[in-house]
Amino acid sequence: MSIFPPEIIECILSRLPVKSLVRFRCVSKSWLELINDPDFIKSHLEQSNLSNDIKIMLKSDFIIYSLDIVDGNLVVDPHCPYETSFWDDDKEILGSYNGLIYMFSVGFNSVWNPSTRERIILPDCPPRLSGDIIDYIEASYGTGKLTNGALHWLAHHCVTLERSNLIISFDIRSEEFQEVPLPEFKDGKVDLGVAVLAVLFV
Amino acid sequence: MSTKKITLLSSDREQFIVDEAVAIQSQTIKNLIEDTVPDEDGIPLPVVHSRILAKVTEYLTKHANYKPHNDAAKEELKNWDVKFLGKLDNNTLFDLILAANYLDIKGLLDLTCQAVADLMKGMSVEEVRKLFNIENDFTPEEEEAVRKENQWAFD
Repeated sequence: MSIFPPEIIECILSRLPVKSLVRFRCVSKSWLELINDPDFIKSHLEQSNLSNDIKIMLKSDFIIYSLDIVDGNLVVDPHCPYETSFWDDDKEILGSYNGLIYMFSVGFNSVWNPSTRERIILPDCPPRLSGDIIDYIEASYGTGKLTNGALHWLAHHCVTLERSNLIISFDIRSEEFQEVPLPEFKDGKVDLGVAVLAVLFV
Repeated sequence: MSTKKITLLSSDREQFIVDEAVAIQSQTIKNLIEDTVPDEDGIPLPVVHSRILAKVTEYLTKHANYKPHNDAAKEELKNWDVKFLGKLDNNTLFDLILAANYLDIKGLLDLTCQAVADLMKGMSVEEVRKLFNIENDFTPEEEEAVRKENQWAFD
């Protein structure tokens, strides 16, 4: 029997569905290390994007269903639904990016990976930035949008309470906040929303 | 019009004569043609046995002569690939992956890696260890802990 070099093992595993991968963490120590490796996770994601496997998530009170698009029809994925009893009743799906779902619940917000069933709870609210002059807008994460692995909020000046020329982003991986300045607008003051274009759930 | 022929030499020194356009789909062979003085018997591929090189040239010949221009043609090529894979036992499939990797033939590597992934996805951990000849290096306690953390994937 052939023994494969690591790059071939990686090439094969990057084509497996997530559930098989999670199970195969038990195969050996080197497989566990590979499957948890951020570079491998990235190449697995790229492979999944290539296969164009788009899913839609629908939520009822306690269950989130995953739907596949098969020949133009929506079909419930039999491996889901996901029980979501670990959330409060009042939860909302606010956005998604690269298979991660950004959830709002009363009291806390989280980013959830339905494929691996793992989730992280986000810090309470963005801290004040730039020497206390920035607060976050509309007092909740509820207006944030998830893109590029980061959450984005429109920020305003907390002294003057004027809508400001700034977006605050929170990078989920590094758990750091950053300021993203907006360009100058002709009208001076603008009332912007933050939106994500081309949302894909894998 | 004559096409240039290339002779490939397997590890057991069997000759495979193919069109140059067929051969150079392998990046490794392409580099060997450009950079080396060929053996008088042909271009030596010392890690590929004739049993596997026969399969490789079968794949390359089909894919060089068949450039799909529409969906129907693409579908036909896909069906050919499925039939090609269907004729392989696991050992041959694994050897073909190693050959595609060494010869740097992306299409064949993608095809064969996907075939192994399809084969594995419903397998148990024990079956996968057997398939890849992998020794379980977890202690029973360690394995139990990893299994527990990922329990839902075993249901």
